[in-house]
Amino acid sequence: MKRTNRGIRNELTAPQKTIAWLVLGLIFLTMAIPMWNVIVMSTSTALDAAASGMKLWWSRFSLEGYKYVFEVTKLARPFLNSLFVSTVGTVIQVVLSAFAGYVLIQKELPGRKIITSFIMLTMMIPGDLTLISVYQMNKQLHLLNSYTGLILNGLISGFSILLMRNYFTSVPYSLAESARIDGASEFRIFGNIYLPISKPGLATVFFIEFVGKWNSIMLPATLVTEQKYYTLPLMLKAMILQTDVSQSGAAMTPDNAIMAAIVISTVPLLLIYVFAQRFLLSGMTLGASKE
Amino acid sequence: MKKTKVLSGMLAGCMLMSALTGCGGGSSADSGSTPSASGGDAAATPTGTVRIMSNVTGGKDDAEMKLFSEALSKATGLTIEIEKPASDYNKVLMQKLQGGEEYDLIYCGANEYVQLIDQGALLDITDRVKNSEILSNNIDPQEWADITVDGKVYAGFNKKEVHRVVQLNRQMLEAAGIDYTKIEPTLDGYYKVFKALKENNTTKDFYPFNCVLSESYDLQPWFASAGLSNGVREVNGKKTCAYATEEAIPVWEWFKKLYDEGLLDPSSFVDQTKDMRAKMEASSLKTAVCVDWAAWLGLHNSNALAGGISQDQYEIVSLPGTQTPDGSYKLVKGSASLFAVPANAKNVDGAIKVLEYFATQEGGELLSIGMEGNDYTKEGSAYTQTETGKAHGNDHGAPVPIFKDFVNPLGYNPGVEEALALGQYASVDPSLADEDTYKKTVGKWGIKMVKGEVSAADGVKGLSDELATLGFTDK
Amino acid sequence: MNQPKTAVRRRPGKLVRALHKHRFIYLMLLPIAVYFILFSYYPLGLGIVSSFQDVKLLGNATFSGLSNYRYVFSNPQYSQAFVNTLIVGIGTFVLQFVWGLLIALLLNEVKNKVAKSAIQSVTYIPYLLSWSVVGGLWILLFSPSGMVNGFLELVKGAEFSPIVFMSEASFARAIMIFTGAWKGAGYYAVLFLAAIVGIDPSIYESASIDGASRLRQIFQITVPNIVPTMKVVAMLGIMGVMRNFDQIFIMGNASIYDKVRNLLYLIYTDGITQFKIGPATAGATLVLVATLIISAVARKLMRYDDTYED
Repeated sequence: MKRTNRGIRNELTAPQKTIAWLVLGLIFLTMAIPMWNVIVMSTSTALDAAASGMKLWWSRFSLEGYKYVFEVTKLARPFLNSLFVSTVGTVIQVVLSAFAGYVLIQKELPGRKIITSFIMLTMMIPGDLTLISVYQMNKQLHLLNSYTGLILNGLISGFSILLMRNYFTSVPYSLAESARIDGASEFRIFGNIYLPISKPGLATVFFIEFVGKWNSIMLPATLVTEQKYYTLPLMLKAMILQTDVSQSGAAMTPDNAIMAAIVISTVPLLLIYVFAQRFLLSGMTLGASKE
Repeated sequence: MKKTKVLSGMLAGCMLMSALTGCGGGSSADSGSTPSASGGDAAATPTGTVRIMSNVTGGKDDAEMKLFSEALSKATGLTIEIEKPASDYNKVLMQKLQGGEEYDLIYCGANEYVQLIDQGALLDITDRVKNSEILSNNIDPQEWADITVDGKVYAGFNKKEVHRVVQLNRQMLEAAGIDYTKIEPTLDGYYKVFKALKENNTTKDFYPFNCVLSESYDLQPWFASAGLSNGVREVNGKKTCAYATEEAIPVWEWFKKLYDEGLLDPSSFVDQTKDMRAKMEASSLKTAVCVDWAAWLGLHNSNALAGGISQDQYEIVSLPGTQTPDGSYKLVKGSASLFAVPANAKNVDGAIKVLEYFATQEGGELLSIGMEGNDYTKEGSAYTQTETGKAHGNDHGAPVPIFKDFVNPLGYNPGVEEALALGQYASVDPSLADEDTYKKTVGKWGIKMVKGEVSAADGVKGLSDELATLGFTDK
Repeated sequence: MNQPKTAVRRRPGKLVRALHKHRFIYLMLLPIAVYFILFSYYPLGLGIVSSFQDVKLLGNATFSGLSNYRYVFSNPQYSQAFVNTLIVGIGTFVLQFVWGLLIALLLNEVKNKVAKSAIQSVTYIPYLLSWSVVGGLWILLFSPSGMVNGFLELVKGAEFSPIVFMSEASFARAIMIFTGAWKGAGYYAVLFLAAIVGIDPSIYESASIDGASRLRQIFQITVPNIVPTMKVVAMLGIMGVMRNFDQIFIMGNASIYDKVRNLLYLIYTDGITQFKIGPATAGATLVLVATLIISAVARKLMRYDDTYED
């Protein structure tokens, strides 16, 4: 039994490889150029950033946009709020989703299909439908303007449960069965067999859900009217759409500051992604070698 | 097939369950609002608190917002509590009001104002306004007339609205041998100006004129030439959109001619105001003439100055557009931004007091240049702006306060005074409940006509039909 | 919990035995169930109730039967929006699916770790950004002086006059589909990649020994092995077909709304911005029902449930 990917493995032929690289390169460019434009604009002067068109190089390098978002827009507190709320929420979510995912792979579980539908239906509810009642419920539970409210609302998604279930199904059922015959408790089977094998899955769910929470706008907008609880995407949306500016016009946030805010809001996501990516690639060989 | 059954069964079950819990929740929400309504009597003694739901920033963060409400509290002798959602204001306002929250003042725009009145959510304060010396004397009567609905007033003002003017790049005009004060105020006069500008500037994507066609109020200074006004107005008892009448045809054809000859930026079909502004900026210089708010002209100029570009190199100046057949001009004034009193307000007296304060010189200063000690320091009558104050750009809710004799102690941006003087020609568009759809419909047909997809004659017919189908106008 | 126990003592039925056996499993589900009932089903129920009511901003709502639904059905904009929702939604989903799969399969062939990680990260970034950013960028790229026109001019020569892409009704849906797929492709790619690296390497080895070319291995080993993941991704994607709002809100404009205005956008402009709670909830309920129907059909077509049958 060989354990590596690199053992005997045929390669693509040269022309096939060239095509693959070309396609990847093209995709890479269409995605990289707009991102680069954001970075350049964020480090330009306000005047240059306001110029129309795409900017791929600096005329004058400047960090005034970053200075602006911290000193004028005061983005630090919302940034930390988002970091706190998203991290705590995602950790809880991953644990609970793993539980639920595990529940869904129990073949003999009575009511499994109903439970699946119960979970799936929650993913189809349009936000407009619950707009009013979500507010009333949070008011009744005293969750308005609180960190608890920000964490609890949108805490769990059916999506991550389904993903976890999917990762768990790739674990051979026989492993669990034999452990059960040996008298292992459900929690041990879950904790000692399923969780370690599914590390890449957990990592994937973690960062996908972190992104979701980090960018969430609908619910925080409903919950928060005190500035100390503002989260980053709320500020970002107000900046980009200029909703803060009354119709007939007053000074608004310069473009370089908007772009700086975008960069700042993306950095944590990239860091988590890089982290998760490593997990994703190394974690799986472990899983595979267990067989 | 089994699965669909399970799924639909599941749905029915869920619906039933939610209907049951839903009813329970509904009744508890009802009972929640009743006691608070009666609780008002019990809470009648602490008259000193005014709760405000706002969408304008008094302060940029928690600490400053506190300073702002403290300053407002001190000046009015009331305890002011301000709530401000970070974004999605209308949605949150709806959630709050439906959720039984009680405010004494709520911020709203002119269109929302009409809808809130429609819903019976606002309190008639007509008599209180009449009885208040400050409210009746310090504010231009026309302002009140603009927000009077069926003879009643439900709100006071957040700020004074300015108007959209024709903005022109002085240096570009001069380079083309044009003195902006001598431009002939007709469609043809401007056509010649654009032509000269184009001939004088060979930059590849330079267009002399940019006009956001889907923002129908940008069109007003040009339709003035035919004596037509923006918006839906009653003519002979019929709701009519003047841009969709036969009199409008020459103006649409003028736009088409500009487009055909490369004088109108083709991006005008898709640009938003923000893009148009970017093209006017000193750093782009992609267009020379546009229609925008008076305040923006000042911002273009001050941005350039801040970037080290002098007024000799870049200056935006203003004009009122084309002349109407009776020798006047037509400009669009911004629709009001208001603080309305909700029907369930507890402290109406307090609310009126706040509205009065906003209509004074002192209140205006708080809303524009900000808090003394934080945004500026004052020695005698000399005001010095602090760094914080500069960063706030003289906006703490109202860059131009509603008080009719307001004097900005720090002065306006260069060029703004001249543009503000054109306010005599400006009037406010009639409010529409769904202004957005109206503007987009006008924009859609306008683009078709300008592009030449339909003739101007068919275009105004099509526009007129569609507006009637959508219920904006009468057939 | 008590009931099953006493039942066990008497004559344990099959179901009861199964319930008892899984009692810890149910316990694991408990927090999720409580959460969903409280934060999803309860608000959902209230929402559906208000769709049958005349809801005022202040004061009590009164039942008004089907009048909100009648309002929605009588407005021709809604049926137009329904068609737009389906075309743009399904188109985006299909393109994004194929595009994501392509990225994942190609990336799996890249050996250079730096390149692999760089490409993967960059393709993923658009998903991390909000539509207000991404939409703005594409509007720029498609503008008359933007890159797309610049490229066309390069190809077609100086005679070429720029196309105002965003104002052309005939391009509108294609642009929405393309940019929508562009934004989400990297995200699907990650989901696929996670499944691809999970394939047992020994399968490839024995295929290589049998002399199967790499291309054949891709189609005969990689793709079949990630079918379960593809089904999940497809299910999730289809459930999202009706939920696109931000893109249209940011990228739409007057000349193309007739082609791209979708249901959620219409509910927003026609309902929420005008404080019309009844019609908004009625429209949203219809979106929910439509999503249910579409998902049920998709489930059936994909034989989604078979994957988890045994």
